Amino acid sequence: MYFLWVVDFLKNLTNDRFMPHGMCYQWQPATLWSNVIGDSITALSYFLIPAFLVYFVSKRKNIEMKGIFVMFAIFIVSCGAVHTISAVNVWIPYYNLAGFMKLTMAFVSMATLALLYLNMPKALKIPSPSELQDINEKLKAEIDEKNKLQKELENQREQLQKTVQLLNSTQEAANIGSWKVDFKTGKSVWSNQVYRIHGLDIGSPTILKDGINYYREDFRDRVTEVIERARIEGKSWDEEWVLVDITGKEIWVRTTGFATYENDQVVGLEGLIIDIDQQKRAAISLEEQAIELQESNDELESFSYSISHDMRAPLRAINGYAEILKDEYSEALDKEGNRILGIIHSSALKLGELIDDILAFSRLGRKELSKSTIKMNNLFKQIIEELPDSKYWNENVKIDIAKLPDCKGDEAMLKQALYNLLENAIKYSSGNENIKIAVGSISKGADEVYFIKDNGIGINMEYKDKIFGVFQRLHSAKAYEGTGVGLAIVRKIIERHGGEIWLESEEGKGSTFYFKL
Amino acid sequence: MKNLDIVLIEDDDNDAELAILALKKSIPTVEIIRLRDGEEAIEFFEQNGDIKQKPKLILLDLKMPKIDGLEVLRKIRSNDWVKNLPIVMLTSSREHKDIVESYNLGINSYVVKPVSFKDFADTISSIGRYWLSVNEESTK
Repeated sequence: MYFLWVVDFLKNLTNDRFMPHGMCYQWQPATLWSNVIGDSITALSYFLIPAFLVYFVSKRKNIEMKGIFVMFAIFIVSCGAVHTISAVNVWIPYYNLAGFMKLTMAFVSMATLALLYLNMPKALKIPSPSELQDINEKLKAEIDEKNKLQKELENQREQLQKTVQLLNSTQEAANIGSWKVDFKTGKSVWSNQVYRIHGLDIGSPTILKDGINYYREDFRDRVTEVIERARIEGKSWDEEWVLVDITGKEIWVRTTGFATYENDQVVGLEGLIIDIDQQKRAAISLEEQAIELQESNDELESFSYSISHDMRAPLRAINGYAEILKDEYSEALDKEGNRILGIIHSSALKLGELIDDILAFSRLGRKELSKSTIKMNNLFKQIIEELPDSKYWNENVKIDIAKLPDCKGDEAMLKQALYNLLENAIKYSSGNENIKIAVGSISKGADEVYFIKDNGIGINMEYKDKIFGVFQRLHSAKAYEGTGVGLAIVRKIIERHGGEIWLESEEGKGSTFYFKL
Repeated sequence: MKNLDIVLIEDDDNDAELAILALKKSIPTVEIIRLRDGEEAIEFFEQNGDIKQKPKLILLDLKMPKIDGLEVLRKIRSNDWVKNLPIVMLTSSREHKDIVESYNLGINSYVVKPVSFKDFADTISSIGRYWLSVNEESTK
């Protein structure tokens, strides 16, 4: 029966057997229009509001509780519909339609209410705009902080990159590479320079065993030994080995290495590899040269030793027997025989002197300097006391010695040099009646230059270098005796002191020898 | 037999003859035994014999074949018989190491043989006379 009632109700939605609502207003314009206009404008806004709502929801993505908005929209639309039908009912009495619409509105409003109720806890959780503002500000601060950190991190990363670059270029410049081996993974990490030293492309895969195989065969046992020792006993190493690069070139490298630990367990090795090829080869060739030099020095030494002993012995015999012959048998010889005997005798003596001088000269090169502070005035005084024993001594010599600065040197050697210089000055002034020798010094910058000046025969400056050579003589042995080694000895002594000797001279006027130490 | 004065250990015949001539010239009565090399010298000093054979001075040449003067020195210096004898090293060498080594082994004097016979004779005679007179004094 209810069903039939409902069917009847729906069939008569647009039944107009009732009186229009305007009748109730008695068609009074004021009453009628105030109701109609009020309903109409309300209806219009009730249709527009949901339109805006729908527009808002469609534009705002990720909006929470979309269903409620939709429900509100439907609810408002149904309200609008009820106001519309109210306005229409003034003239057209579709009261069943109006009732149906009001029922619909009631249903929709109840559904909206239920939805609102169910969603209330969730709705309460939605932050208010001011809360959102706070959150936003906090978030912004956090983001700022994060950005700052990010920037710092970037700076650090940049710095690190620069450091790595610097390290790489330093390693490259110093030919040093660093490497690392991890026993757990069996992997090696090499710096760029290690690859370069091996002649490999940077980043080529490497394993420990390969690393060992790059060393020359005769070094591999040693390499294995030190690695094993580092692995088992934790001993570090610092050795020089020959590495054979990918092209087969042999390179001397210095390698250092040490064990790395984790919980007292050796877990890997770390170290450096330095290309020392150039230095090593230079050192090896220097060593070889030094050995060669030593050998030739030894030879020279034994040569001069044997000269000293073996050549002097027959000389002594010649001289000794010649003297005995002269002393005891000169009457048995005629004048010519005695003259010849005299030549034998003096030649033997001369040869003896020559040998002595050569030996003295060669000893100079080998003797080590024993330096001390030398009071030059004292040294000259000693020499002057000894000079009268010289065979070139001349009673007419007058030697003036100015106040001289001290110097540093080997006293015995310098004494020999200065003796030779003074003796030389006397010798080459022998024709002079008043031999004057002056000893003095002049300061030239930081150097003290000593000089010995004579008024002897002087020499042509063309020969200024020649006179310092061994066996270089400018005069015949007849005119001036000597072996030609004296000034060579002087120069050698001065040069052994790191000094220099030179002279100024004019033929017939005398010479001045200068030297500095 | 006269008492022995000097033992001359010298491998070079000429040097030996000249030394003996020089010594005899300045000390006509001198008694000299010449030993030809290191081996002879060691043998001589090892026969621990006649006290009359004990010399007053030993002149020892440094450079000799096989056993040189330094080696002889080492051997005879430990011998009681010659422990206190003056020993003069005769040599042609001016090498520093030879001189130092000789003095380290306890020689009394070191003479570089000059080329000039006159100098050689003077030197050797004065050494001979000096040591012989020192020994005379001490035995008196």
